[in-house]
Parts: sequence; C-alpha cells; structure tokens
Amino acid sequence: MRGLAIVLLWCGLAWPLRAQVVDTWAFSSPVVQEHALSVAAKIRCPQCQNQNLLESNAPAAVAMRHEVFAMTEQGKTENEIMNFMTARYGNFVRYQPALETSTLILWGLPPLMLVLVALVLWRSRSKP
Amino acid sequence: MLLWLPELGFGALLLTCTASLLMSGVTLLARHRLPLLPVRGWILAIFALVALAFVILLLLFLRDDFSVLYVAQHGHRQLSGLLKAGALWGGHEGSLLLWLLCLSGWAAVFALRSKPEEATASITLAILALIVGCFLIFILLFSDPFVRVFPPAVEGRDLNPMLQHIGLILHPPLLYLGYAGFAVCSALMLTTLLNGEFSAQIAGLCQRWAAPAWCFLTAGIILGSWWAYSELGWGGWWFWDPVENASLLPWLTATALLHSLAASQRTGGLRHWSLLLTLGTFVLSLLGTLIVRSGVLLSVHAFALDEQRALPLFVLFAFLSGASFLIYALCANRVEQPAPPAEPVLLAALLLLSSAALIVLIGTLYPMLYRLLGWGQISVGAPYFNLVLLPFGLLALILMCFGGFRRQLPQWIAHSGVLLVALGILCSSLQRHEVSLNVAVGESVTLAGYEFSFRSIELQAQGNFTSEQAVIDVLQQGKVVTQLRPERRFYTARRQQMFEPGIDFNLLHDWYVVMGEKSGENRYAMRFYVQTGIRWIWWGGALMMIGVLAAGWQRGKPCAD
Repeated sequence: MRGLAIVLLWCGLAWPLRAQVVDTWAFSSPVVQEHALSVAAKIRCPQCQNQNLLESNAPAAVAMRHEVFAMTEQGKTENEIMNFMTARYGNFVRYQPALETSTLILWGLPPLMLVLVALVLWRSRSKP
Repeated sequence: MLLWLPELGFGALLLTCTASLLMSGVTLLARHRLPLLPVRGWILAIFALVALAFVILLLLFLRDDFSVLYVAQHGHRQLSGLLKAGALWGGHEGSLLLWLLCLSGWAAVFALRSKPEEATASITLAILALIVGCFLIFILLFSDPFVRVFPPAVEGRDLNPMLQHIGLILHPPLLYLGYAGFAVCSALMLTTLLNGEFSAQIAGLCQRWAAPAWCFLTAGIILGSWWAYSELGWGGWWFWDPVENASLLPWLTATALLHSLAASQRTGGLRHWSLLLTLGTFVLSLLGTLIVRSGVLLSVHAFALDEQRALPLFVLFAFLSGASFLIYALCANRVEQPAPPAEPVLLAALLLLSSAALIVLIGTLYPMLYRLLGWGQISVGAPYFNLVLLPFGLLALILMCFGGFRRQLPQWIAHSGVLLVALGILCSSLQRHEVSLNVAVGESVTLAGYEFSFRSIELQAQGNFTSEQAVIDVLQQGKVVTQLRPERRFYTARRQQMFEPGIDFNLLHDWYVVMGEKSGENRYAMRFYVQTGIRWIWWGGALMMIGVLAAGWQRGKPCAD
C-alpha cells in the first residue's frame, strides 16, 4: 500500500548506496529516546515522498533528525521543537497541522461530526 | 502465432470493449422490454476475452518478451515464476488489467448464479458491462499493456525489490477482488433504483455479494499491513499514507454497509443507508484504484505517473461516480416504503463508521485541496489521524460491547475479532521497546528482558540478489528462544540495496532486528525491537473475516437456492 507510493518514487530514483538506515545516536536515557523518537516521527522529511524523519534516509532528514535528538537532549519540549522546525522549514513538515484559519475544516470536522452523531441519535430517540 | 501474442491481446481487449459497450447499450436502452440479447452469454464471453488478454500478458512475462514495453519495465529473466506473475501487476497498466479481470470475473459468477429470465439480473449485468467498457476505453487509449518497443530491450528493468515479497504479490489481487465485488453490489443497487423496488430480499441478495467482497478487501488490507511491517523495517503496521487510506476508506463504508444490509434484510428498513453506503463504497473503491494509482492525489509534489493520463483517469472516475449518485438522486424517492425505525445502537454504529470514513477522506484529500486553493503546502499524517479518530474508535468499541455480543455466534466471532484488533493496537502502541547500536560478531544486546546475541555473518548469492545475513540468537534467562536472520540484500538489476528485517514471534511478543550499515570489521549498525500484540491485529482481522463468512453460510442454509 504505502509501498506503491514508495515504489513509484523509486522507479525514477536510484537508491543511494550509502544510505543511513540504522541511526545509532546514543541517547542519554530511554525516556529521552522515547520522547525524541516520538517527536521526530511527527515531522515530515521535506525532501522525500511521504516519510517522517525516522523513516527517511535522505541527508536532509538525517540532519533534521539529529537536530531534533540534540534539542531533546537539551530538555526542550515537543512544542518548542515543533515551533522551531516550523519556523525553519515551513508548515509542510508538520504531520499534525497547526490550528489556523486555513485548517479550520480539518480540525472542526471531527468535533462537528461527533455533535451531529449525537443530534441524529437524539432525534431518532425522541421519535416514537 | 507466438510472435503476435501482444497484438492478439490488444485485439482481445478491443473486442471486449466493443462487445461490452454494445451489450450494455442495447440492454439498458431497451430495459422495459424483454431482453434482446442473451446477456449471460455475453458476460461470459467478455470474461473469457479479458482472461485471454490477461493470460497473454502473463505468458509474455513468463517468456521474458522484452519487445513489449511493459514487460521490459517490470520483468527480468532471473525472477522466479511466481515473482514474474507478481510483476504483471507491479505497474500501472498491468494492475488496471487485473482490476478488469476481477470485475469481469465477478460479473461472470453473478451471471452463472442468476436465472436467465430475471430482468433484474440482466440490467445488473448490463451495468457491469458498462463499467467494464468504460475501463476498457481508458485502457485502450491511455494505458495499453501491450505496447511494443523497438528495438527490444536486452534485459528487463526487474520488479522493484520492495515488491518481491509474497505479501505484496497477493495484496493487489485480493484488494481488487474486494473492490470489484462492491461494483457488483453497486450495479445491483442501481438496478433496484432504476426499477424502484427496494425490498428485504434485494438487501439479502446484496449482502450475499458484499460479504465475500468485504472479506477479500480485509484480507488485502491485512496482507498489505503485514508486508509493510515485514519489509519496510520500521516495526510499524500502519502509516496513514494516502495510498493506505485509499484502501481503508471503502473498508470503513463497507463495514457500515454489512451492518446496514443486515438490518435491511430483517426489517426492510434503513433503505437509504444501504443504498448510499453501497454506492459510496463503490465510488471510494474507484477512488482507491484510479485516483491513487494514477498519482493525481500525490502528484502534488512528488510522482505523477504522467500528466497526460491523470486527466482521463479523473474523467473516468467523475463519470462513473457522478452517474451513480445521479441515479440515486433521481430515483431514490420514487417508492417510499414504511419501515420500522432502526435500533439506536445500530444507527449509532453506522453514523460513527461513516463519520470516520468522512474524516479520513477529508484528511487524505486536504493537502491537495490546500494546494489547489493556493494556500501553500501542508501535511496531514499519523498524529492527526490518530488523535481525531480516537474518540470515534472508542465510542464504536463501547457501543459494540453493549450491542454487538447479544446475537448469534457469527456476530460474536466477528466482534471478538474487533476487540482483539483494538487490544493489539493498544498493546503495540504502549509496549514498544527499541534500541539502535553498533554490534560486532560475538556481542550481545539486552532489550526488554531478552538478550540478542550476534553469532555470525553468512554470505549468500540467490537468484537475482546477493546477501549478507546476520545470525542472531534471542535468549531469555540464558535459554535460546529463537534465531533471527536479518539481511542486507543487493539486487543487481536495479543496483538497489534492500534491508530485510529478521522477525519472529510468540503469542505475546515480536522480536524484530534490522541490519544496517557496516561500521567495521564484522560490525554492523543494528536496530532491535521487542513489541507486544502486533500479531493480534492481523489475527483479529482474520477472526472478523471468519465471522462474516460464517454469517453468510448461516444465512444461506435455511433457504438453499
């Protein structure tokens, strides 16, 4: 499924022979590691098809990934890292879009649907 | 004779296109009179011709005929026979032909199981032939798999190594069998709309076709997820990629459809739900095959197959889905039958499933709409979907526990499957351990109570690749639990390096090792995972399928026809 996407991309591109597939960054503790990985997974690699910083082997992704890891080691929160990355690379890198006027539909739809479901159920109950 | 195989295949497709358009045109225009043509025979002939074209393409792959462009792009002499067959649907043209084969196959089965004098059946078959015809127009004009190339290629470009896996060889046929099955349901419902006669019996008939289609779709999704898990090397089973979402969308509406049809066939109620969900599932299946496969959805910034093909594909999609909904809009209110109100629990389930589908749809299309509006670029991915779908999933689970376990055994099995999936998702997201380290032969790594001991390296040459294999023993309290063999492969034809994780599991845990770069003499960068409950997700899916099949079997038993 996701493979088809990747494959279509790969048809055109040669696989870089010296790709960094396993990143052996040494984290100071498992807690920091978990936090760093979860933040990096929420950021999209700006150079690749549809991959987050952990999945991508592109040089840009590796650099950004290490930036995220370093910031986590410094004790920065997820919000701070996200804001930094967005300011630097644009909204495109956020897999979870920020709440703005242009993303109102995206964030408004789920609660709206919940209300609608409740409303429809209420009406069908009150009918005989 | 064998020299002209591609031309023969093209001729077969051309003949099928003419036949299906002629048959559907004549039958649909004269639908109030007695059928003019022996519709069943025509459908069987159409199926035979599509099958002929398909077999010819298969032969071309098996014979390594690189004078055919499509074969040269996806085949290779060193591929095994099974992989050559898989290479047939490794690209756009072949997968459309496979879709067509599935669709005409379902139509042929429908023809064989219907009675010749039934008017409903002949109109349904005519609608199916129309869909086949529309697809063929597109295939013949824009996506012909039999195009020759001169001079012939010396060697094929090989099937992408990512696709050389049994999960992804079986994944497209299963998915397409599911999609095409919903085309049959949809044709049946459109006939009902045109005739203005929705009844519990029609709902039962539709259910009989929807249940196997749903099972195929579910099996396809499970295989795709299993492939992503065992091939991509991230230990994940679902990535919320647009291509994945495209198969999830019809699955959500189809699941709602199964519930709605079950109620319709008991009481004759939920007419609009059943009709709309059938058409919706069909349209979303089309979206799944056409739009995603063409790259329109994702072409936004990365890979369009080519712009020339995107527009006709969109026109085909818009025509088929527009026509379906137009017929619904015109005919749905013709006969309003009084029906008892639906059970609130069932209604809530339908509402939740369709809302989830709508949210996934909007989330998947949003980046494209965003760009079309000139607002720039945006990404909508896993964190968003996980967050917004969580309340819907939880509510549906609670509802299911209240209302889903009171009925017969099949429902009980299917709903326990859902619970198992939910449990698997919960455990795998909470209990996930990973570590990445440089490890040399003879060293060990301890993770989550297990000791991974790197024993040796083995070099191998197989078929179309060479590989380095690490032998790693997994120990618990000094006793060997299992042996993992992660690999680094080099595929010579495409000069691609591939990383095959070594995976094993027991009832509870999965052990997963990825072998990365060589960082020294007998020393490699490796990533280790210990995960809980990943398998439960797939086993739960299998339980759901067993439940749905058992329900179909139970329904078929009392009225054996």
